[in-house]
Amino acid sequence: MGRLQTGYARPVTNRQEAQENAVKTARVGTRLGTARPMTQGGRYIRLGTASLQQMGDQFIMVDRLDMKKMAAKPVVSRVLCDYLIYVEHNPRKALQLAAEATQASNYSDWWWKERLGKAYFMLGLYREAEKQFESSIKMQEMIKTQLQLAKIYLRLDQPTTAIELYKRNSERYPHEISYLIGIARVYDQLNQPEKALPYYKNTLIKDNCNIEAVASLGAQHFYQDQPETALQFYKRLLQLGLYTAEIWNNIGLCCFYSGQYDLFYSCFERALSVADEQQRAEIWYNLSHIFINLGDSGTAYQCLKISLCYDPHHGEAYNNLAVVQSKRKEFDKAKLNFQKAIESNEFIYEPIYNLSVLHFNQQDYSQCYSLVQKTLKLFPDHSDSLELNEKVLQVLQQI
Amino acid sequence: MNQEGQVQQVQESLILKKPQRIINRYKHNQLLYNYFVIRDFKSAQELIEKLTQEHGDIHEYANQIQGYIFKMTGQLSKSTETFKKFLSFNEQDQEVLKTIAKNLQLDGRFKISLDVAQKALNLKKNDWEVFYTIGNCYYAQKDFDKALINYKRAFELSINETTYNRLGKFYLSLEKYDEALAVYKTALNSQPQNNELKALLGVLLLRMGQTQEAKKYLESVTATDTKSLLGLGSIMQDQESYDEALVYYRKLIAIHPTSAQVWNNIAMCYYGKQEILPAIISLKRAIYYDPFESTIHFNMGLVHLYEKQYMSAFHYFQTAITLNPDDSQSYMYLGIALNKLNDFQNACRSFERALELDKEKDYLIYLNYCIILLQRGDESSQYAQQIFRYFCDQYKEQEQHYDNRCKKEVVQELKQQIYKYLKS
Repeated sequence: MGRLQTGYARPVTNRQEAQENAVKTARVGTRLGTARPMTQGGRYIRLGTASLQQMGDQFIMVDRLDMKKMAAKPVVSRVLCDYLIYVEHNPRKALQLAAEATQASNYSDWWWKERLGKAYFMLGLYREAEKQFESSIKMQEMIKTQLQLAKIYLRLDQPTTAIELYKRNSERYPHEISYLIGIARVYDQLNQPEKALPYYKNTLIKDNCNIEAVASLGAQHFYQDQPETALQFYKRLLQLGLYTAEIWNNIGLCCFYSGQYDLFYSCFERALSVADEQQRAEIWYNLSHIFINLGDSGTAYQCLKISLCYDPHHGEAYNNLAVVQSKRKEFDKAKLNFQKAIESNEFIYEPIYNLSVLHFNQQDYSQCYSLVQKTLKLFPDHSDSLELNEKVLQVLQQI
Repeated sequence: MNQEGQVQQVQESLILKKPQRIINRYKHNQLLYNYFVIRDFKSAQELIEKLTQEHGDIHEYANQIQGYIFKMTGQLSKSTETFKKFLSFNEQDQEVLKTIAKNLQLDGRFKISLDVAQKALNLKKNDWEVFYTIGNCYYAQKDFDKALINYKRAFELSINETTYNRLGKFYLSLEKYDEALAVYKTALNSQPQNNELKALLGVLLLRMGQTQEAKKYLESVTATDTKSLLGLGSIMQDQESYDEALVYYRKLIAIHPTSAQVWNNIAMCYYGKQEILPAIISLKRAIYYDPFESTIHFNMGLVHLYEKQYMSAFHYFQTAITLNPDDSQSYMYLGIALNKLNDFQNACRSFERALELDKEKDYLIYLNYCIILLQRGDESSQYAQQIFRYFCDQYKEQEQHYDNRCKKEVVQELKQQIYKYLKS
């Protein structure tokens, strides 16, 4: 089955792992296409309005500010704090200011505590941030603060606590959808999509234009073998005014899997016409799946080649290309492509397993053995690999 | 003071009494063996390193175990090197020669392996392992006659799991079922309790169409053996007791959740029970796991045909044909689907192609073609009559054969109806 491109990328804040991801994406290429280009990180940038950016590189000389003095001015200090957090992204200074200001207000201002928590959060001091948020909430209940607290729990790898927090609050604020979406996201990340489903549905009841919920429901129905239902959701996204390659791609896939062969071609054509290079690689990859399903391995081969032109690091495409080649009995080429697949994406086990089967069939047992061990490291319960492992050992252990 | 002096004296005298130091190379052998048999390769390797440091590179047992460890961890060329070193101690060691030959064969160096095996054979005439290795080498070089001779000799010398499996599989790959059956039966006589053998025998009998005997063997095997589960399932399916078949398949799918064949069989059980939705879902899953299998697409077409979704059926039959262009059945059903879609001309072409490809002269193709031609009316009735005559001839020949595709009464009734219609 072709992979759906997610119509929605989860908002990701500028966390430490982001840098790692950036390195990875530079190599592997992003798999996710976003339907909503603006991530939360993007919002930070947006708040630095054009008027501020025109002033040149440095708007305020932050290093020269005397935080104690500033903290005494209630209005300016608040504006400055937001500036430090959202424009300068300088949590250290913001922390100084917030700490001074909290002291100045005699530890009785919820706003400053919340900002203090935010600054701690940006610095990665989650436990301190948690304390600040909690005491801020005690003074003044704010939805935003609650959400940030939940984010901390997620960052501390305590999804159940986060879900409890969301649930508790969504009972108290039944019209706030952020909590519902939050729960659904956590369940999605925990790989329990069936639990996320009712929350997305509830979100849609309260806000029937919520793009994330529509897109997620579409994807889930698609993977539950209900392409017709998924199609309805993607049509709704079109109605909401989104016109992106991912949506047309998804609609095309839904059409194909629900047997509407006359429609899917034009969907993919549209998708290709609005796609950028990375997206094209994915779309051609999906098309190759369709042709494989139609039994036309020649065209599938061409599609995979095109996909690899756009993204030379597409491990899955290399794997599938090699599979098609081995069906044509071009074993040497297939081996090479499996090798490339393994190199370009080290987290997929399929090419390694396929290569080991190829080696086994060609009676190259030592290669086969080492490859099977690699597969089992990535996917310890893979039943076919376990069986192959036994076969190889049987051959090797005859004394 | 005095006592201490005495003790010292005694000790000295003890040391003096001790004979000159014997290098006992063998005292660790038992420990090494123990490590090896419990597959604790890490400890074994440490011990081997220690032994090589103490005694140099000439410790025989350590070398031998090292060679085996290399082999079991897939480092075949290293293993061969180790055993070759071993050979320098004693060139006439048949066991070592045998092991080297096997290693070379596993490593894909068949010619050298054959040479070494020949040497081993000169030292000892009747060793089944050598014959087996030689057979493997010839088999890999696609010299099947020589391979067969060697496999047979190995089997005659010793009936064990390796020999009967190899010889049996060899016969199966050449489609010599009777010979394979004989091999398995001789093997079963010498090992009457071997479950794996019974399963193999059962599956083979099933393939030869001797269902009752196959069932006897398969049922005697414990229910966890995958081969016997699949075999029993398909027997039940053939006898149209679908629920029982599904029980077997469910057990099987728990062990192999990604097997396209099993999903396909499950789907066809549901189809037999006229439960279309689960059938389609199972078939979809089967296609997901193996999109290159034409049978699954063919079955998908059948299910859609039954559901009167002729367009989808057409697509699936077309896919089945692109994957397996020589299948007359796919062409026949494609013709039926096309006819339902009001494309009479292409339907006829499809049937003609089916008749062209059909080697077994299947009467169903003639029957279906005849019906389609008659439905068209007068313009093709001449040709329909001709086809009907062919059908009658083929049906007479094949009437006695077992065929579970359609009931005999239905065919008879259709035959009567067409006969009447053509008369009038």
